[in-house]
Amino acid sequence: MNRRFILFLSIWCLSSVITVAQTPQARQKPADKLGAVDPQAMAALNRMSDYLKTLKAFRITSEVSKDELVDTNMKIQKSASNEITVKLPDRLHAHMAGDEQDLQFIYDGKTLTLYDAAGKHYATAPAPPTVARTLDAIRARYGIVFPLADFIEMSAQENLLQNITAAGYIGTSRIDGVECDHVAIRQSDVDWQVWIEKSETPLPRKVVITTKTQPTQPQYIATLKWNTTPSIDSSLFTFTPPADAVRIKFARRAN
Amino acid sequence: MKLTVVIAFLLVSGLLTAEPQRRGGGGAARAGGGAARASSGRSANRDISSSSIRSSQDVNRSVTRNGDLNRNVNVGEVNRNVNVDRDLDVHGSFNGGYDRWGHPLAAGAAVGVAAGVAGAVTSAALGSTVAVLPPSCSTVVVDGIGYSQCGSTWYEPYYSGTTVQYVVVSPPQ
Repeated sequence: MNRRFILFLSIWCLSSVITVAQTPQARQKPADKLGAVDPQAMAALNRMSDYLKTLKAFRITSEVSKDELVDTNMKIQKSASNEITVKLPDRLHAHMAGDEQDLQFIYDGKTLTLYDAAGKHYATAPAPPTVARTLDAIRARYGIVFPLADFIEMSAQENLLQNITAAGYIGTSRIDGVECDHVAIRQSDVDWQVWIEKSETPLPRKVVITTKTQPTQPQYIATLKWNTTPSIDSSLFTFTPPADAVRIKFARRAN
Repeated sequence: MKLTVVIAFLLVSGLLTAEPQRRGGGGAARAGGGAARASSGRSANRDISSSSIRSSQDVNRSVTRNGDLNRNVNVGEVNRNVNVDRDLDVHGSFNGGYDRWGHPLAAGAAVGVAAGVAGAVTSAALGSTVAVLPPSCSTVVVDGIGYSQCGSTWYEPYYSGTTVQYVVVSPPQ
């Protein structure tokens, strides 16, 4: 008993020492890194943003994992594969195959179609004249947040880096074997991380978005493969409804 | 035995002290009450991660500034469907519900989405919404829009976000 007590005391002392030794570092390191806008991080973000703006057409294939909440406090992770083809300024086709849905978005500069291949439903709506404005409009009108819209909009001259309250350069990382700059960003509602290829083509290779407004802080994780010289069949942007498809409507979000 | 507990306690408390950034509550992983519903598909208020770094306010501002929202208000494409807008107890909470793609649900859909198949067909109230139709329905196209007739009840499918829902409507003319 006595020996145990002595052992207890010595472990207590040891652990206190370790705790004291660790505390200042552990407290200050993240705060220092992400308390402000780090120029090295912003340089990487700007390299990416500037490069995206040079693209005229591209195809992104991405694997997505995203947290959902079941019951009240259990997170599960859903998966989806997306293929998005964009021809700026006014053509877009996206195919999204997920756990429960098989969807296509088709935009031809005038009309947006959402086709649910599993349920054979489609809806069309008049759309603004550019990809970026169309993505904004479907979000505002119908509450649809298009996958990876942020990067598509960055390519369309949008400045999405203005909301950053803090940015840190985390270091070098490898995604799919490619060396990347790993940058972490804080905003009011979300924190996000992006891995930017360290090369002449500084493309985003991975993104993680953490939603801070929900208690479980769910994450959206996507790895991206880019083709910046895709061969595009123009019929990709035209929707011809299959004979057995049923036309329906979009429900408009209340404002 | 006691010693093990003490060491475990020390280790845990040491961890918590060393990582003050980690928000409290991390330690207390509550076992979810009951099993996660396997048939999870359709719960309307399920939280999900945001797939965008832009806030909804920014998007709304951008859309309003560009006139894209107002320009299309009178198109009638969507507004004609009064049942969707009026009967579903619309509330404006952007973060209130997300569909399975990580897309915020159309605000109107957050209430009244039944988890399973519609109940007794005869009792379906106008404006009530289901995610799955009862069995034995037929599709009838009126004005280019596909309705589902299930006995004497008519459903109009619509996209809530990217998820199809069915609202009970009067028989279309």
